[in-house]
Amino acid sequence: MLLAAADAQISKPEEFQVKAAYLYNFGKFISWPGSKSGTSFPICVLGRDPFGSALDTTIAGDSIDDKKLVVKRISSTHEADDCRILFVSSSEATALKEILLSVQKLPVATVSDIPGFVNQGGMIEFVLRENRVKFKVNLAAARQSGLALSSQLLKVAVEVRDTQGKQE
Amino acid sequence: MIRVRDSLSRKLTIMNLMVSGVALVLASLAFFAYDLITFRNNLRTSTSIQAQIIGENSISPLIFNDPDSAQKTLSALHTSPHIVYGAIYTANGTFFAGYWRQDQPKHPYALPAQALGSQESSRFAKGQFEHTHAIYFQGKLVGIVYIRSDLSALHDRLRSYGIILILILSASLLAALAVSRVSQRRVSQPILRLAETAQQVSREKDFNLRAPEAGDSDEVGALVQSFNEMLLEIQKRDSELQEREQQFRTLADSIPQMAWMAEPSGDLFWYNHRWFEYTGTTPEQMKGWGWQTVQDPERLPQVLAQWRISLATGEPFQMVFPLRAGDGSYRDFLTLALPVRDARGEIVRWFGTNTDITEQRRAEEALRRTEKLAATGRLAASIAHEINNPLEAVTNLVYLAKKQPHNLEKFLQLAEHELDRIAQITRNTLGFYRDSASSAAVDVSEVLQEVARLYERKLQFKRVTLAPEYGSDLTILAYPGELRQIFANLIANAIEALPDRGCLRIRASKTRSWRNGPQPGVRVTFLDNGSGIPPEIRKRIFEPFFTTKKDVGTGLGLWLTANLVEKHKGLLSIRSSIRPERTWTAVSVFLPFQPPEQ
Repeated sequence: MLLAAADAQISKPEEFQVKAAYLYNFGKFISWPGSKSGTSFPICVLGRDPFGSALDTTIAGDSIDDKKLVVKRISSTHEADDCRILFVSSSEATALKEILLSVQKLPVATVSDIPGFVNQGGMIEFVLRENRVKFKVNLAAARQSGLALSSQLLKVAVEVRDTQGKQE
Repeated sequence: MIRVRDSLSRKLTIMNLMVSGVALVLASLAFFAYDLITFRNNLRTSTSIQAQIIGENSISPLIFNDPDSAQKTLSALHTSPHIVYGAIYTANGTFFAGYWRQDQPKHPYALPAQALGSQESSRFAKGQFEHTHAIYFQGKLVGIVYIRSDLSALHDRLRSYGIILILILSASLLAALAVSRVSQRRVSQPILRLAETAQQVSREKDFNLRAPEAGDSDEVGALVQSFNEMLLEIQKRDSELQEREQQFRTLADSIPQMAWMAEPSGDLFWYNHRWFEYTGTTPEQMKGWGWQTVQDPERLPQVLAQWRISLATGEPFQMVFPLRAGDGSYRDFLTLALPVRDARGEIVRWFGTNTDITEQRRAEEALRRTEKLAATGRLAASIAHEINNPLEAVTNLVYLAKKQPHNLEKFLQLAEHELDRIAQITRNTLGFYRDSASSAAVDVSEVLQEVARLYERKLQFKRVTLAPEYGSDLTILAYPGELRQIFANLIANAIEALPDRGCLRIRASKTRSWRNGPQPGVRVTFLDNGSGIPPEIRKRIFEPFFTTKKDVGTGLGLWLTANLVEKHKGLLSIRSSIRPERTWTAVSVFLPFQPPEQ
């Protein structure tokens, strides 16, 4: 249910279904600092929601660390205070710099499929490789926000950056 | 001789090798089995650990659909060469990523049925070991690890174990052989040496030999010691035996008799020197039955017959026969032979002696003649005495007839009567010496009366009462002269013993003797109430020259009497009492009706 067939040609809805699942699973490989409290585990979508119902279906009834998973659709980073994971929709590509800057100090894992996301200070960037959904990781960005990424996660990432700023 | 067919040392060696061989094989088998079990357990444990590690490292590849990453993890299995296949399957059993050993075809295997729905499963099948491990992440099944391992490692191990076992076994057996060679020497060597000595002793009959002392104080040492002590004992007995033998031979050669020994079969195998000295023969001539050549050919059949009877019955042999001396003359020998019996009573040999009795016989003959002469002298005296009385009477009567012619008739009659008496006495005396040569029917009571009449005067002189009691039918076959001599001697003795006014009873009756079976005959008993004979004298009373009347007797009277009684196959016995006031002596003569032919 969580996995796509390895060699099948991936379609758009399928792609976002996979991304929705990945979003949910990222939560299992990231640790947040102790200040992050609350009874729920909000996964926020900033901008136009590309998942449709896929994300809701994926997380329905599930919880991480006894915290109930919820989907929170927001239009501004001001609403992102209690978010655990923030998905930046490609619709926000132009305002990416400001968005990242505004959440830089928040313990929020930033994820997006905007190309070059990790180069600009985002933490996890979805990419397509051989028709498969993969991701890159910016370890320094995560560390700056006080998040720890599991080595397991890093192992399956196609690229791991550990520096601020531009790509090498 | 005893032969050693199967050496003790070989037995010991084989036993040692068998013991160590069996122990080694058993130990190796146990070790083998233990190793097999351990190997399987280890394989299971190590595979389980590997599966767990792979599982842990495959969580994110599974979740984020990264088979490459999973395969990277799996490729670590190449460090375990016995693993032929390792793979990760998704939770629903779809192949996700795999590893194959280089020699294996690269196609995914179907997940074993028991893998689904169990945390962990493992089994040995078709020479391979299969292990599955379910991967859970946060309570959810995310995939399954499947590892197949071949057992070539086990087989390699078993093979090398086998080789090692054979090497150890042969090395150990060689070592055991060497050790046993050395160590068993301590046990077997003394026994072997003992056996060798025992064989040598029994072969050479040399009891001076000794088994070498083992030095150990174990049973073998004790055995060797006991054996040597036994040899010493045998040696001691041997020399004792030799000494005794020497003593015996010395004794046998020093006695005046000839001596010999014979087998139970009658073969003579030994003679003392005296035999060869006397007979002038050699031991070779005398072997077995060679003694017959020195026998008097006329007596030989008799001797042989009696010797055979003794051999057959085991009765002692006793016989007098002549043996020829080296110079061809014969001398009489009393031959006695006794059987020597073993513990079970079986005759093992005969021991015999020959005693030369020629001189003895001659001496006895001379004595008999002497006594006969003495007895004749005594008789002559008593006859003279007897005759003297009637002669005096005749002389007186002749004188009276001259003086008183008117009584001539009467005196002549009396003189005639006296002369008759003299004639009677003369006749009797003649009878005494006339008819000793041949036996005849004799009435014992008549002889007794005749003899008693001879002693009438002596009896009157001593005022002895004669009380004869003669039965009837007392006729026996005997030599009359010798019978008279017997009775005369016994009556004379009794009169000698009797006191003044004593009483002599003479009783003669028909009877039977039981000494040698029932035998009819006549018993004559002379009972006097004289002084009696003390026992110590009674014992010697039949010896020649024994006398209590040194001045008047020759000491041959009773000896001759006994001789004569014996000649008649009769029995002479004396009983006597010396109790005060009741002294008496009874001399009893038994004479069989039929005396022997002689």
